[in-house]
Amino acid sequence: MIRGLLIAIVLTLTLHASSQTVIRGIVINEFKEPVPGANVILNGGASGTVADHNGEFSFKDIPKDTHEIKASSLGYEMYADVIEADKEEVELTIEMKSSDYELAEVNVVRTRQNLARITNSQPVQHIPNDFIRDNMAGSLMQTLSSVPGVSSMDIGSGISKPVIRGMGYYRVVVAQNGIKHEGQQWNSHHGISVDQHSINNLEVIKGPASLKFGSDAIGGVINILPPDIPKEDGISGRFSVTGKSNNEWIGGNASLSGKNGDFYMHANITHNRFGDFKIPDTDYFVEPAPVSASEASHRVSIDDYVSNTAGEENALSFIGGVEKSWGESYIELSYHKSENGFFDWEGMNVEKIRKEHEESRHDINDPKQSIENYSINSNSKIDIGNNRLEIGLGYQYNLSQENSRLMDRTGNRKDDLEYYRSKDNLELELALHNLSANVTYSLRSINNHIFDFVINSQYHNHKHEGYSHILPDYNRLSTGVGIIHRYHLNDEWRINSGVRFDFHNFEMDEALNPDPDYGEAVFNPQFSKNFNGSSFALGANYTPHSNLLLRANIGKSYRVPSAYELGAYGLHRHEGRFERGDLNNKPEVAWQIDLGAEKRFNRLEVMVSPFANYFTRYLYLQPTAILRAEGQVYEYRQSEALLYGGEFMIDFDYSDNLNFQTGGEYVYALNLDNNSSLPFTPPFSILSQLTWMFNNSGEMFSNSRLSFEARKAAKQNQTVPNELDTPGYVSFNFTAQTDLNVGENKLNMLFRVNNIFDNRYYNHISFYRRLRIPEPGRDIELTVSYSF
Amino acid sequence: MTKERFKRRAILFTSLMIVAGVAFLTATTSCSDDNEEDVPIVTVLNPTPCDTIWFDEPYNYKIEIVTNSGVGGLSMDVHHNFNHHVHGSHLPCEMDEEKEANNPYLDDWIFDLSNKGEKYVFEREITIPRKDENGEEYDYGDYHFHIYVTSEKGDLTFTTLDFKLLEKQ
Repeated sequence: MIRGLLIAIVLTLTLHASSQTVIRGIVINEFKEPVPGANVILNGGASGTVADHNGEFSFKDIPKDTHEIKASSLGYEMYADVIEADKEEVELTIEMKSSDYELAEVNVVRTRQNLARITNSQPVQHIPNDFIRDNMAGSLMQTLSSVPGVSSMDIGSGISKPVIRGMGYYRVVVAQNGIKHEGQQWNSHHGISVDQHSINNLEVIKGPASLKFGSDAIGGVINILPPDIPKEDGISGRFSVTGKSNNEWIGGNASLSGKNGDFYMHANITHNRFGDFKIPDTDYFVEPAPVSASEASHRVSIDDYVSNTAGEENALSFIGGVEKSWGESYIELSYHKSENGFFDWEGMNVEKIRKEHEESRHDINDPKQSIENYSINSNSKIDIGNNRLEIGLGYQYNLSQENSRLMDRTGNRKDDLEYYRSKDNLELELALHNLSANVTYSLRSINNHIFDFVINSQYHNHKHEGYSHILPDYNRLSTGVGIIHRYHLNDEWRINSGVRFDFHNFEMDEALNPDPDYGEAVFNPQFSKNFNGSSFALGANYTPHSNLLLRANIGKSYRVPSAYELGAYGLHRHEGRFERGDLNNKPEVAWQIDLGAEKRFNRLEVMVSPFANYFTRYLYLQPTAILRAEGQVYEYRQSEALLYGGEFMIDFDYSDNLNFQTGGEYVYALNLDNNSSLPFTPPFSILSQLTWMFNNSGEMFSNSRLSFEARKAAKQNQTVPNELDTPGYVSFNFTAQTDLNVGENKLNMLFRVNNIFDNRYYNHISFYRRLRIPEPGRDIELTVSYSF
Repeated sequence: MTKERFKRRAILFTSLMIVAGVAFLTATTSCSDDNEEDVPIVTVLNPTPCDTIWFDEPYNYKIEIVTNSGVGGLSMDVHHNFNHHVHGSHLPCEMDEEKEANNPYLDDWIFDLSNKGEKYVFEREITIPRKDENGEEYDYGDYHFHIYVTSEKGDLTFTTLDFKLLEKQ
């Protein structure tokens, strides 16, 4: 009312001075929430102002003319428009788009002005494209292990699995824009079928996220977001070639993006080939730990190359999309194939096989793994007034094959042995069909409130083949319904809450012993069971001013036991143990408290985020006293467990050129029933980085930087039976990078030396750690890419 | 300006000190080991490395096991070494020429030793037959003997030795 009156007064006053105008406006985001503090400039900076607490701004005494207006704010894309100021009073609404895909979440790591803008009460780290490019390692998870709280469980150069805050396997979901990627959780040596070159945006959610992602996301989520829609019509692209000295890696990638009117596309093709990796020191004996019956039996002498760890990766993906006034929609097709050899500790004892392995650094012999993954995903967002309907559909086919020299362990089953030998020594084949549908209706028409109504459904069909039996065939149907509420109370407070219910149906087929003379007659009985569960979360964000952010979140998450945890029965060959599930295992339930504080001083930014997770029924693999001919028996059991720890990060710009960054992570994991540790707990570690950025906005070079990195991991002696303590280490890396400007295009060169001093150290959660094979030695890498 | 610069240096210095301090602390303080390792200590009293075991003749196997939490189980197996493979830590013995396996003797024995206490001497008489059930003779020559022992808590120990399996003339 008063505002209207004021406008009226201003209007009458300015009627006479008719050559001048007043421009008033409000800056809002896509949720119709004001963006306080946004910078608004006219005509390239001729006049400028800052939006107030309500997102409002005004320019007075502006000549009646056409004006160029721009608005910018951290976490949002630059807004630019041309306005016709021909009236005495011009009213504007500037709607800004979040610069990352949907929500302006915490943007972290390495972007220099990374004032974290938070809408989530949980720690969500947005990983921008340049982070992935600058840190690109052998696999996606190795690349992401530079993020505090994220570790990578590696098997040689090409396979790695995510571990978030000490939780991995079934407890971490890898999703493609909300559609779960299945397969990687099958076992410890099953990598994720994702081409990191095709990733533009990615978010890491640390801690339980069952609310959004359903049952398996109890430890965290790696959510791969779709690439940005190109801003302008035309074609752009990038070619890159990478060479690495340590494992003679040669890789190439080509990506192409195009936009024509409302339509856009992205295409990506990748090929990587690498040889056996090299470790520091030669003539050393690698003595496998007495971990399991079959594995413990060998102490193998290896040279500086770890035989048969070569691999290959091929990937192809395509995204086609449309952006219209009603919303947007895209479809994504992708194919990924990886083939990796495993170090053959058994074969290395036999002269003939050893010679075969040592003949070439690049051949992939048995034992090996090959995983093919086909997927089709689609996502549509339809705007219905202020509200939005989002539909995600996905189909995935994942085929994993493991080939090993077959040995008859029972003394019988000769026919089977012959049959599978004829199938290229097929030891275990796992085939998975996975259908997913996610529907979210986002109600945004009530001021300051967003309600998301979510329905997820997933159907899983799994079949196996091969000489080994470990998992029965099964079907799983999961459905979840939930509500997420985001309440923007005022400038300082945001409240996030949600509740979700899930229903799962598990159907396992009967699996009989093909050789009734040997062992139990039934491996797996017919099994059918419904598992239901609920999750909730309540969180608050408090931003008293733009330099300080505090957040807290409490929640309950749950996870339905995996097929392994219920029905495993058989030798896990690469682990050398006999695994046995338990059909009586119940869903895991976790209660979490998560806190976070971010403070920005002038040139210094500090972040801490402690957490504690209490599990009422933590599922883990417990070695038993029972021995079988195949190996020691490990059983999936449940106990109370407590995991706590946190991450910290310091980012300091000493000057415009010199930046110092350090981040650390710590997890303490306790099995409360046994009063012991939990397996595969990453050690305390710190990653520090000193970067010099050159002032070279010159014509020839730009974005040049030199960076020196030190990674320190503490000793890990919180181990479980048959797990080795791992000594601490420090390793040093060096990176130099520059862009050479070739007309409008760019030639980027990235030179990196990993493990500069060729230090011999072990990664506690690496698969080869147990075989006492250290991490790769010095590695010199060069990536040259051309962007146009 | 100089004050600002001093402040920046102070911040850089302090953060470096924090990092160095934390790094130093983690390097020196090893947290108390709350899970006692309980890898069984296994001593094979009989046979001794490079012994000869005769077909059709009973042999008394004797293995001493020491644990903290209690003995769990024991598994033994016998496989041929006609291809001269190695299992690392065992003592090398004088071996016959390499040869193709025709009908090698292959067997395993598993014993549940729970409730046998913390220290236990396992003793068992086993006879390796000259012929299989079809009346065919087993191959003689170099063999390996593998022994796996678990503690009640699931810790595993492995040991191995070479022996010769021959027919008494």
